[in-house]
Amino acid sequence: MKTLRMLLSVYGRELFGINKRAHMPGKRTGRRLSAGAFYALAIVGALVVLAFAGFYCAMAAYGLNQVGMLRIYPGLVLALLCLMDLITTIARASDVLIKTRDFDLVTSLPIPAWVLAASRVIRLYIINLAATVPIWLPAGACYAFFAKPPLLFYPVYLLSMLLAPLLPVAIAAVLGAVIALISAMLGNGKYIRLILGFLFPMAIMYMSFSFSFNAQNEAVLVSMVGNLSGMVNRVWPVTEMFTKACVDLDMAALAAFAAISIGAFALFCLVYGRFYVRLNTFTDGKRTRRRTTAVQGIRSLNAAMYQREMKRYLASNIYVMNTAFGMVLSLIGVVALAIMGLDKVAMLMELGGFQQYLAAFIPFVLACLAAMSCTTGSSISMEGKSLWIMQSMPVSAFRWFMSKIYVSLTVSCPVIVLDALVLGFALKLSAMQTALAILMPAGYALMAAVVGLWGNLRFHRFDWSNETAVVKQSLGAVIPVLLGMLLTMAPGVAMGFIGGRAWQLVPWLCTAGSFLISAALLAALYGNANRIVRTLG
Amino acid sequence: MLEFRNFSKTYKGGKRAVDNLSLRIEAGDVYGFIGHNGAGKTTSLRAAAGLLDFTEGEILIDGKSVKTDPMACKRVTAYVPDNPDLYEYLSGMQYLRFIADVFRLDNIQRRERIERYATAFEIDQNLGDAIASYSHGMKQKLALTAALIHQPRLLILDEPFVGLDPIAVHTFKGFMQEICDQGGAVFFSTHVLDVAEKLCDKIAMIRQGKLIANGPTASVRGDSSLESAFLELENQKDGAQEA
Repeated sequence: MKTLRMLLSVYGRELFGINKRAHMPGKRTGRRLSAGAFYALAIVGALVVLAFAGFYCAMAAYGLNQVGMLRIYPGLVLALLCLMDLITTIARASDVLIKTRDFDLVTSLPIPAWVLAASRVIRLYIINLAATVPIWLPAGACYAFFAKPPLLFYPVYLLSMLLAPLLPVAIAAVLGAVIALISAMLGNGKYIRLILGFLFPMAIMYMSFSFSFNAQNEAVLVSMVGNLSGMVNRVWPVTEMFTKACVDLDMAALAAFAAISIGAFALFCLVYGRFYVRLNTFTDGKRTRRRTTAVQGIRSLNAAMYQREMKRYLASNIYVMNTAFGMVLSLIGVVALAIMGLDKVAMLMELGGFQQYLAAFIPFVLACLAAMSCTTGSSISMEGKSLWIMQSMPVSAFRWFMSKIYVSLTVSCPVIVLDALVLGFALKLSAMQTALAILMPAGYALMAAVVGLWGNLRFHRFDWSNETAVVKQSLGAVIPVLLGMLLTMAPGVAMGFIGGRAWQLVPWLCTAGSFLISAALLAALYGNANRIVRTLG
Repeated sequence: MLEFRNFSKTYKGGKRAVDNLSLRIEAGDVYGFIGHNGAGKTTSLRAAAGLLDFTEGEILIDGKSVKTDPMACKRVTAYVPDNPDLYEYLSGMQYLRFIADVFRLDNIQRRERIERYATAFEIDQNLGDAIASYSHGMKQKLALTAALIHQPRLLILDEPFVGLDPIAVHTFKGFMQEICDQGGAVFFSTHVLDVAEKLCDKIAMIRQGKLIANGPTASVRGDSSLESAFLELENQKDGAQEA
């Protein structure tokens, strides 16, 4: 147990690169200030997320309370968060569990394999818990505000919150390991992993929603709220137990929930620990390919840089899943809406004023998605220890940086255009509305890409031991996402308070602003790129 | 070919890694750079390769400043670090093709040179494999192949022989000589003093960031071996410090 604690402590120090900054040679005051600044930024970021989460939790709890359905609220939160854990963990599971950079180092130490395995799985659990606590806490507070439960509710809820990620992490880890095994067996590993990494979560989501939502007409749609409890339990079967534990304070239900969660987690830990070395060795298989010296034609420098960057992007499962998943989902959602959901949309559109508001908010939603799909936030850090290659090449730093921005735009812009066109057709938007639905997200995609690059140039790390640390746990990756959310939600909300027809100007102003900000930041980048690149590493 | 003029580098926190280094590597030189761990060798090499920002002194390659005209310097230079972390997600051939594109080699040039150097280093059969599957030595050979295919005039190498098998070492020495015979130069650091003694025309010794000896190998070595000369110089400095 002591060794396990030590391993977890070592992994914890990798978080956000704070420990490294705190120990760089230099004056103690400077080091403390640097580490302190990171802590402060992390706290601010957490508070922002808490505020947003609190707002949405309060709205949901209020709404359910109004229709007398507050009882299902904790279960709804559990199901949503567990599904979120499941989907996001599939992507990161293989990077955290299999063939990490420090595998050789730690495996050569006198540490039992089960301890090494447990440290990795617990790490996954901690990441998931940390990601969902900002939603669990406000959700619990909102429920308690409306339901006024007895005191016992609070320890039961907190205990259940700690238990909740165990089951989805265990399931996702199994799926992640299966993906890694299949891709190792088939060869072309990285592309297989990528495709399976997308397919598995989508299959889960499809099954979840097809079990839960099968509205054929308006009557069923209206009664959906009444059937929500049953639907949620079909999506995540332990919800009923959790609801009984938290709402009815049924200790037998709590014990059953704990037993299933801990049991599944412990079983996975045991099996993974048993096959830890074999699993890592198997997925490390070397396949000798035919000798290839064929020259495939000369590429321009920009094309070579772009292809290099694109290959880097596609080589990382977690990198792609973390950035492209939202865009892929939005495209599937939009196409599904256009093909299968038009009648339901038509019902909603008949509600007074809905069409006008929907057309107004579409650009903001797409812009938010585009900003969250920014790849540049970790693109500099992803160079890792290969940074020296680009630093020593006769390639201007600006051209190198632009190749990263091009990749980010490649991920978001085609999907933005398709989304806007499909929505424009399905919702019968005007040409101007469709154009806005393309321009505003495109402007935000560009702005997020440039801001993300600047952020990562400022807050970079090259000493990571697994890509998850860079893609999901670094400050550079978080900045464009938070900024994008803030710069879409704030004007979107503000639009609701502007009277007359002036609110229609808001999205156009946002669009112009995003392009202007991007131009200014690009100009600054052009002037400083060579100097910046010499200070990296 | 390569000139350090009063080059100094102080890192954040006040550590002065290199102090007032002045050194001149002429065309045709195979210049060895030796010193203890942390002496400032890698810092000097990285600065010359354009990887490091510095404010004191100047570094010139073919008369052009590394600070003000880095592109021109990098076009004629090849740098290989001591532990070449390459793009693990590429195959060997894809990596070489990338380098060939950066240096604008035409089809004939890249085909001939990749064939020549990869065969010489015996990695031609592995070029289709992902770099992630390479051993350390193979990565080193690939990095050296990539350095050579664009026929640089200046080779800057940090411990180039670490991890190479004896045949590869012999092969690479031949290529180094070839570059020098064609008017280029090689500037490399090494801890293997036997190799430096046999291979290098000139030697520079650095200690705690300062140049302590510099010149033709024979004069630096004196009547003894290079190892003895190095140890003697190190001890002399220690003695001077203690006094």
